[in-house]
Amino acid sequence: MLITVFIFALITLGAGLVLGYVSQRYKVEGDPVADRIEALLPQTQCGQCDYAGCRPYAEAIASGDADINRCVPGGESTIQDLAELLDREPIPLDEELGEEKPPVVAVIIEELCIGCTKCIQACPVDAILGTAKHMHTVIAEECTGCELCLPPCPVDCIELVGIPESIDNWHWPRPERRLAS
Amino acid sequence: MKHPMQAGLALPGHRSISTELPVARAPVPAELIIPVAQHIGTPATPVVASGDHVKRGQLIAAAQGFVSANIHAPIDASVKAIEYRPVPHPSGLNGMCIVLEPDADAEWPSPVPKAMDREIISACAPMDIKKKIRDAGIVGLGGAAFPTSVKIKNGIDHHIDTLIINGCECEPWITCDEMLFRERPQHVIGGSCLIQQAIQADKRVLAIEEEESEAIDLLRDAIVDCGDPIHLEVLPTRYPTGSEKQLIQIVTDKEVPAHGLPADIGVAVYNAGTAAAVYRAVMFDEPLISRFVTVSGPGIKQPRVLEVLLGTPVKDLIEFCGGKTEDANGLIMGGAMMGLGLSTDEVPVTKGMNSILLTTPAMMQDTQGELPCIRCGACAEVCPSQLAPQQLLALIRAEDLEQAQRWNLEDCIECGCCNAVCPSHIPLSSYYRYAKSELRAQGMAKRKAQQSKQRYEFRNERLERAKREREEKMRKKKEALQAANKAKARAAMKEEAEAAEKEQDA
Repeated sequence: MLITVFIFALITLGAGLVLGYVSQRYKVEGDPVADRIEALLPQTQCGQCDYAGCRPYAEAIASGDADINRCVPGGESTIQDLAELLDREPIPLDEELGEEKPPVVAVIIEELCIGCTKCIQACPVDAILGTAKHMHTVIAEECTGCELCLPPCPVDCIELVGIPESIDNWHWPRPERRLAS
Repeated sequence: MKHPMQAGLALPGHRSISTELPVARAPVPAELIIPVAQHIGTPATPVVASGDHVKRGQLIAAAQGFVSANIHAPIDASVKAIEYRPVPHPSGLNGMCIVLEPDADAEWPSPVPKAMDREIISACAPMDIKKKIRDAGIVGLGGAAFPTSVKIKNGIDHHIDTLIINGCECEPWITCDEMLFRERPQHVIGGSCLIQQAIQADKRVLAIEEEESEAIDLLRDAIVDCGDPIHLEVLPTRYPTGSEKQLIQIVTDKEVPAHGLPADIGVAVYNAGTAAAVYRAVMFDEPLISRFVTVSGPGIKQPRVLEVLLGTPVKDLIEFCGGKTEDANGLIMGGAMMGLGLSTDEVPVTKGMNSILLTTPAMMQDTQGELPCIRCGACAEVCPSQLAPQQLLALIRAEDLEQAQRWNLEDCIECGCCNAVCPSHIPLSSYYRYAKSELRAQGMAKRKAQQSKQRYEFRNERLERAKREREEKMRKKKEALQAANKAKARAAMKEEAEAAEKEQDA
C-alpha cells in the first residue's frame, strides 16, 4: 500500500516537473488566437469597429469583449472567415457601424488643398505625402480607403473614389448557371 | 515516346485548310497598335514619345524588372500616340498601347538567309545568348508569352537533362508551327542548338505530331545538315499533347510535380516558334517584331498562315484572307478549345497570339443550357492532369475555393476536354478558370492587407518613438532648468551671506 502511494507520488512529481519545464521552455509569446484573428481582418485600420485598429479589435474578439460582426470593410466574407475560425455561427454585420461598400481610395483635389498636414497625421498607413503649406497627395496603392482623412480636412478637398476596373485587377466572372429548359 | 497519353481527346485537326497555301507576309498596315503588356509579368514602359520617329527594331518600350520583356518597333514608323486601345484580353477592356504610323515607303525587310552556320552557333557563350534573348524581348510564342530569358535563367540554374522543342500544335485548327517547320526548319534547329548551348542540356528532343507529315521529312533533312544528335519524336495527334506538362510526360515519362516547374525534374520545353525567334535574335540581332499567325476556321474565305508584324490589327488579316464568309458569327484568338472570344476585330496581333479563328454557328454546338451533373465520370477519364473534375465543380459551386485548391485546382490546364465530353453540357473549365482567378485576387488582397499592417505598425512605432524622444527632451530641459535655478539660489545665498559678513565687519 505504502509502496503504491510512493510510486504514484513519484510519477506525479516527475510528470509535474516535465510539464513545468516544457511550459517554460516552449512558452508562446503573445496571443496566438488574436494573431490568427488579425490575419483574417482586412487591415484597413479604419476604426469603424470602435477599436483603434485591426489589432485591438482582434484582441477584443479573442478576449470575448467584441462580437465578430463589427468589421465593416471586411463585410460578410470576413464574418464568414471569423465564424469558421472561432467555430461560431455567422451573424449579420452590425448595421449601426455602417454598411459594406465596394473598395475605395482617397483622392485629394489638389487645387483645393491648403497644405495643413491634418490628413497626413490622420492616415493610419502613411499613405499621404506632403508638407506644411504644400499640396498633399495620396499614394493610391497604399491607401486602404479607411476614410479617416475626411473629417480632419478643413476645406473638404478629399474625395473617395471607387477603384476602376482595369486589365490589372480584372478577374473572370463566376459562370452563370443557364439550365436547359 | 515513353508514356502515351491515355486521357485527352482525339479531335479532328482541321489542318489541311490552312496549310494549302504557303506562308504569306501580311501587308504593312496603316497603323500598328502595340500593347505594352504582351507578356506574363510587369508591362514594359514606353521609352518613346508621341511624335518621335523610330527605326525598325528600335526599342520602344523597356522591360521592367526581372519577369518582363522589351518591345521593339516592327518597322520604320512615327509614334502617333501612346493611349488606351482595345487589346486582346478576355475582359474586353482597353490597355495601354503605343500606336505607330508606318512610313509611306516602309516595306517588309528582305527574308533572312535560311542556311545555318553551326560553327558560329558553337562560338556563342551561354550568357551572351541569354542577354540577346532578353534584349530581343522574346517570349514563349506558343501562347503563354512567358519571357524566355527568365526560362533560360532557370535552365542555367538547374541541371537540365532533356531539352524538348515543342512542335506539337497546342490545339486543333492551329498550324503555325507546322508551317514554320515547312518554311524555315533551319531556324528551328538552329534555335534549338542555341538554347541547348545556353542551358547546357544533355540531350535534345524535337517533338512533332504525326499529322504534320510534310514537315517531318524537311525536319529530318535539317537535322542531318546540322549534324547534332537530335531525336525527332513523332507523336500521335491527341489533344492536348502540345501542353507543356503533358508533353513532358509523354516524352520522358516524368511528371512535373504540383506547384513545380519542369526544371525541377530536369526538363525544359521551348516552343518551336520561340526557338526560331531565338535563332534570329542571336544570329541576325533581330528582335521579336513578327510572328506566324494561323488565320482559319469555317468563317474565313481563304484560310492560311501569315507572317505578321506585331501590332497589325486583326481586321487587316481577315481582309487579307479574303474576308469573312456570310455565316461567320464569332472571332476567337487561339484555338477552339482554349481560345478567347474577341468582341472586336480592332485588336492587334500580339507576341502570344498564334491563331485567329472565325467561327460559324455550326462550329459552336453546345449553346443549349446545362443539365444537372449525373456523375458519369466522363470528365475524369479525359482530364489530362488526372484531377477530379466533378469534385472540383461541386466545391467551386459551393464557393469552397480553399478546399478546391487542396484538390489541386491549380494543376488544371483549362484544356476544356471535360466540357467537350460532358453529356450535361456543363462548362466545367469556366468554373475552374473563375476559381483560379478568384483565388489569385484573394491572394493579392491578402498581400495588400499584410502591407497595410506593416505600414500601420511602423507608423505606430514611429509615433511612439517620437513621443519618447519628446518626453526625453522635456525631462532634460526640466533638469537643466532645475540645476540652473539651484545654482542661482546658491549664488544668492552666498551673496547674502557675504553681505551679512560685511555688515558684521562693519
